[in-house]
Amino acid sequence: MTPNNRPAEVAPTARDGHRERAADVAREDLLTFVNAARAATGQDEFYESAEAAALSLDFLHTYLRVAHRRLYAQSLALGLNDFNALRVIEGLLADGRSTPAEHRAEEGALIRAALRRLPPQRVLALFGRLRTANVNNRRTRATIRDWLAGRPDAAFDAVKYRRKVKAAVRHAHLAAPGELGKFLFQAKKMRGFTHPLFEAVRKARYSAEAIYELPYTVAEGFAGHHRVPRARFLERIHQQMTHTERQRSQQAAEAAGVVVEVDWTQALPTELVRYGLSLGPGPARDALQAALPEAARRIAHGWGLGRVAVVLDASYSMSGSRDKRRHPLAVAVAGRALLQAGCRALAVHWTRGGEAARGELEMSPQSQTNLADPLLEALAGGPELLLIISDGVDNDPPGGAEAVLKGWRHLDPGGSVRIVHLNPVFDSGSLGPRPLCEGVVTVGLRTAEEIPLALALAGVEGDVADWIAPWVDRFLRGQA
Amino acid sequence: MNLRFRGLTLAPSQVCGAVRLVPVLRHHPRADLRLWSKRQDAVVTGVALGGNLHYYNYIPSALVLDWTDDGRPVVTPGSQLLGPRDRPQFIKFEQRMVKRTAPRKLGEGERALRFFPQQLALEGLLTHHFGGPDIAWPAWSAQILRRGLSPRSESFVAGQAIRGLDEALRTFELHPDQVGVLVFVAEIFGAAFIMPSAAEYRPLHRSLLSDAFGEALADAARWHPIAYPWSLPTDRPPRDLVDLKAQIAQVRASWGEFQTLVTADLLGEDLRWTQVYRAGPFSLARFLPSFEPGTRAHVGEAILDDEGEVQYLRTVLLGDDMRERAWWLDRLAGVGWHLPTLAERLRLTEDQLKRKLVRAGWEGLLREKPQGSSS
Repeated sequence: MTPNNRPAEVAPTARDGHRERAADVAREDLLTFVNAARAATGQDEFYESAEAAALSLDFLHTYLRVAHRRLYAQSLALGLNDFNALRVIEGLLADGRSTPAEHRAEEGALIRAALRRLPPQRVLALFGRLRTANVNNRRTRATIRDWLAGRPDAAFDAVKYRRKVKAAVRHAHLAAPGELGKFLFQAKKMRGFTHPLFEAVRKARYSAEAIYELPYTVAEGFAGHHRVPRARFLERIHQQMTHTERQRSQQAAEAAGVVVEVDWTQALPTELVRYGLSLGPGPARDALQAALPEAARRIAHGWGLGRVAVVLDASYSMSGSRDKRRHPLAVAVAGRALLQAGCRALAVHWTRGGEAARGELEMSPQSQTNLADPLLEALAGGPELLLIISDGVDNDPPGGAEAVLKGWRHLDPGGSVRIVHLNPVFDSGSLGPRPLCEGVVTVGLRTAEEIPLALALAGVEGDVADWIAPWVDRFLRGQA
Repeated sequence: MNLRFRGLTLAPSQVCGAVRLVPVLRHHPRADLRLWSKRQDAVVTGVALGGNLHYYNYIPSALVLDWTDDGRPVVTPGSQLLGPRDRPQFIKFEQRMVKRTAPRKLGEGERALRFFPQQLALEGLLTHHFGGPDIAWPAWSAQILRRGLSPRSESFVAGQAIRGLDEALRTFELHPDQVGVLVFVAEIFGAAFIMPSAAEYRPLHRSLLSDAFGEALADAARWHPIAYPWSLPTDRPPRDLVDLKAQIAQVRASWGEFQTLVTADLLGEDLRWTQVYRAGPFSLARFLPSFEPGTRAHVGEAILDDEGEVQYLRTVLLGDDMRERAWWLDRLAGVGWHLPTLAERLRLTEDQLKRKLVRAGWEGLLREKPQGSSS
């Protein structure tokens, strides 16, 4: 029985109080885990090393899996980043015995739904890890079987991720019928394939012409084998590239003097901005800056937010680390663009006012963090919702943001302005994104596209099991 | 004379582990002075001092000072107008302070001065009473009477040896106007480093890691891994947004005042200054502290302008053993190196005094070891 459907006339007993406390604990635990698992990527951060983060994350994963098994599986529906979603799945599969029988079906469905959304190379890498860890229970084998069966083009996967697919097939004891099996396990003996893609791989070993029918990454290997000049190779292969491959080969193409066209308005704004921030002045950066509003509108036009003020941190600590260069700043810049498209009116306040007047992709993360002044400006504008995108470290003056937020609570005791702090950086010491001020919700954020989900997470109240059910539902139906 | 931080303001400090870095800001840098760092082409340099003497040093970087006498701005060294495909020319600008084995002829208009960071300050310490006793009292060893304190040595640790300094410098967020930094380790003031302008400070920020520091700082960082938190809260609930804004401004101002107060007496009251070089309106000088027991002794070097404003400053905190050795030299020099007089003044027997000298590390000064001395 949950507090919501308890008959009103029954006086609360000690047992009810206990149940409510348990619900509070479950909510706290879930939010701590989800916040961490949305921000942390197991890489170096500006202030923290990957090793320290790994310790904290290990603890969080193990704790939630053991203490709240069902919530742990359900958290897959709450926009965990790829790295942590894979870890959750790995943990669930490796420890299937602990699943209560009544949740087994739901857990299996969540795993299958999550795997369908993850990039194939990451899923196949997970299968490889399961193999190394000797995880080969019946559910794991069924999961691998279902995932492979659900892929749109098995032949394409077999060509593009040949070694990984081969390992997965072997690990799950699957039969690979027809040419697929022959291609994976006996390719060298074959004198010819009827499937055009398999045949192209066979021919590519001998002919430099055949490589252009292959996926880009596979063709790249053969291009090296045949010593095809880079410029000629890029010029002919670019039809075969995926959108992401086009994005990331821009600089290689420019160096080779080839144009690889990419429609930046189709890119995710955070990725677009992260690339744009790495560029020097020139037409490439201008094109990105021009495409940003449209790319943002594509994602955010249905957000339906009201009057929003956003405080954005551009200080030096937003430069990230060698592993994730300028990532926090990219989240802030992309967040600005998305909010512009997703709300009725937006007031933007950077920590270094004035500089943002220039193109935002020209910004570089530098100088001290002064969150207090932009916060004051933002509050003076009287917004309905105040968002802060920052790593939560302010030092000019230290604790300035906290003082403003605390002072504001005295001025606005009813909470007419909703304040949410979005933090793209994981702090291993506090087991989550570093908070700014007690009483202001801090939510972890991997990319700016997830702002609506982050806002939903910031508003969780009551019994978390009730709250999470519709999310799980939508996730399983393939909507979230 | 005390050091005044006129024209400089302090911004709120940033803490990382045991290390507290206080940013020093200068809002109006002078245009007629430039100090830039130069990578050394030959890392080990040898200088013939005449006779059989040669002087060798290992210094990874040097500072080059350029100035104008009449207040005209100094051209940025190395500025060149180039086409997109031209390669920049490398030009030698400066004259070394010491003469090399084969001195280079100065060209027309060349006047820049090169010196090594921290070398002035440390040489000031090492050459303090370097000549030894003025009068050959029988208590002093023949070696000291003949050669003075040579060879005199003190040891320091590099910034890398201070646990957490690397991380603190890396994560430090530089202010746009920042020209320097005050380094505290476990709340012990360890070093000040101030440059004439922000553009000159920024590339040298991380060079603190290769600077010399007193060993005491490395110990402090090891045993006190967390700095004491300084916080200046606002205690009164604000009346409205304007009031809240005023409170934040107040907090920021009090950080400045508080730190100015804390740092006012950092280098001690009575510094002994020696001017080393005069460059137009600027003087390059070094200072020694009083070495009094119970004080922290900082030696340092500075460039002061005609108004006494600090343009460049670098200080080194001495270990207590170094301070004590230098203090004994001062005491001895004060009585003309006459041991009985000093013993009387300190109300000690001569033997007790000798034992104290031995304990401080000055055994080599004495002709005979004191009785009862174990070594």
